[in-house]
Amino acid sequence: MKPAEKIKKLFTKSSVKVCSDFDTRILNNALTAFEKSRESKSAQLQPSVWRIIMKSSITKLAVAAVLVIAAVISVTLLNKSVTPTYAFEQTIEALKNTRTVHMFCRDWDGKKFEMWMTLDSQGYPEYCYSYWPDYEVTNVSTPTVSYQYNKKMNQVSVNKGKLYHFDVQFDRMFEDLQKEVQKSESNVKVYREAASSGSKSLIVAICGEGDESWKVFIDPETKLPVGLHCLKSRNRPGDFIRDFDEIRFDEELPAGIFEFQIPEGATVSNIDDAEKRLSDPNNGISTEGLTEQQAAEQIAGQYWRAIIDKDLEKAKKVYPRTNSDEEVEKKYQKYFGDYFPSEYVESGKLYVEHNCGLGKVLPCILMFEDGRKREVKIIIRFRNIDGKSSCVIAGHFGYPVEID
Amino acid sequence: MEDAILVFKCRQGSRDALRRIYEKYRDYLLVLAVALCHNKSSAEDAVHDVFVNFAEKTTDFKLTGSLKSYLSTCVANRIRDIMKSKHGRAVPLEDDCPLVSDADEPSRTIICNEELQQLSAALAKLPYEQSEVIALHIYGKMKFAAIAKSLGVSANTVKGRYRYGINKLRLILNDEVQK
Repeated sequence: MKPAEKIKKLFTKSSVKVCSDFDTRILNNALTAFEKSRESKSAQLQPSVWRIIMKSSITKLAVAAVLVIAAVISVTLLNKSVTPTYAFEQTIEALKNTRTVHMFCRDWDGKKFEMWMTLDSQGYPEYCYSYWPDYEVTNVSTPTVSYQYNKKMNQVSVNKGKLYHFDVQFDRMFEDLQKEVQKSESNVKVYREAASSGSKSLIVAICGEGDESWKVFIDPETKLPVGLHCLKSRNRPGDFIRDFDEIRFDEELPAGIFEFQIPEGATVSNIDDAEKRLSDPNNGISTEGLTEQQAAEQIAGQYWRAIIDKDLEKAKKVYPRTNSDEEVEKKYQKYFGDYFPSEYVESGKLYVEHNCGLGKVLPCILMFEDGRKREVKIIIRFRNIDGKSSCVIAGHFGYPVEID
Repeated sequence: MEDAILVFKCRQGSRDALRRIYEKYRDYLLVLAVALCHNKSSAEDAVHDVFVNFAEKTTDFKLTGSLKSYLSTCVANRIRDIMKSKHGRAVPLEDDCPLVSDADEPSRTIICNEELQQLSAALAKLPYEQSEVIALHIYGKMKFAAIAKSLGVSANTVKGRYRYGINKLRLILNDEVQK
């Protein structure tokens, strides 16, 4: 073995065990130094200068779109009991100068995540970074190439352009909200509410009626939106954000946040290829004359029969995969664990999962080789190609869950 | 990516982010430090000093490359200083303090495995400048140009140190095999 390889091997196998005293000593000293440094810094703090990282022209947040519409229909609403008036134009003006957005959000499962964005000239996300600590998932979306990284699985999905099923849905959420606001002026109510922290009271706008309803918090000084909460939402795949707990504008971006390096040893899959296959009319089944539920049950039946028979070719026909048979088999082994499905028992009702942008979800009950029943959810994408409706399986949603 | 966020949060005053950086790189830096100085006491001090120094600087710290590389270089530099201050010149401290855990030394709080002891013993036979470059290149995965920049020498010098060091290691490791 070459000396460099030998040294590398020794380094790889080297380890240390550390007593808690060591951590306590370093952490205490480091945190003390950290606090002292911050105290001395704040003592000499100068008025902050916003660092403009991106060179994009004047931009505004998608929220502005909602508010622009409200302004166009000349709504200037205020609570008569509150002396200072508020008009949507003020927010629009404030948003004109924003370039970056940093948001603390929650998805429909209540999982918290953080997102940084730069906005394009239309106010839509141009570069976007988000991180879900609970899932250990990082998304990086840029106009040229995008990545989804699952740290637990050490898997990276890459696609050209912006991330699929991600910020597109984010925009659409606001576009639909606009429509609700446009329907009637009475769809917007404005009043003031004490902020949960601090003495400042916030301007609150409740927008929407019917299928969609949002509560928007606006800073009375800057007139910028500082939070949004979804009160009511239509069920649509991919509308994954329920709450924007905090929105900060023009904050300095973490250095290199939109640069992604594929981690060593990570499995890389190309989403563009997968998308092409999902759009191939030769894959999937025709849904002509069938309801979506019937079509979903039919394709699920074909798929599970193929899996039970270990007929990967047939399985690929309804669930198109880019990988080789060997790779697909490995993936199934990783997914199902020690036991494969042995019988397709039944399927549940097709439904929309907010956190899934690939299609609708069909829960399936399967008997496994160990004699236990598990629920496995599959994602069904409905398509209309050249006037012909069809559907295809776009993936599995979550992992098998054992049931009684 | 994660490091950029952690540094960003440190700059904003997050103690938790600082703690996470420490937890993320503690073992890695300790292995590097022990391998380079063959002395647990100095390795502990170096890692301690680097983290405390980093904590002091976070308010103005700007991450331009990899945080891992930055911390690795800091540790290597700190070890060089410690070695110089103790001996007046950069030499390994193999006699200063035993690498293996010692019952008479309750203050020592890290225990190294066998591979690390072997590694440290091999690197200790090289001049520090060579073992430093080898460790940063092989373990820290730093490019020669980056090492050169951080050490303030030319890339050719770094490559030369690496080549000489590797040649010596060949003899050292072969000797060990023959023994």
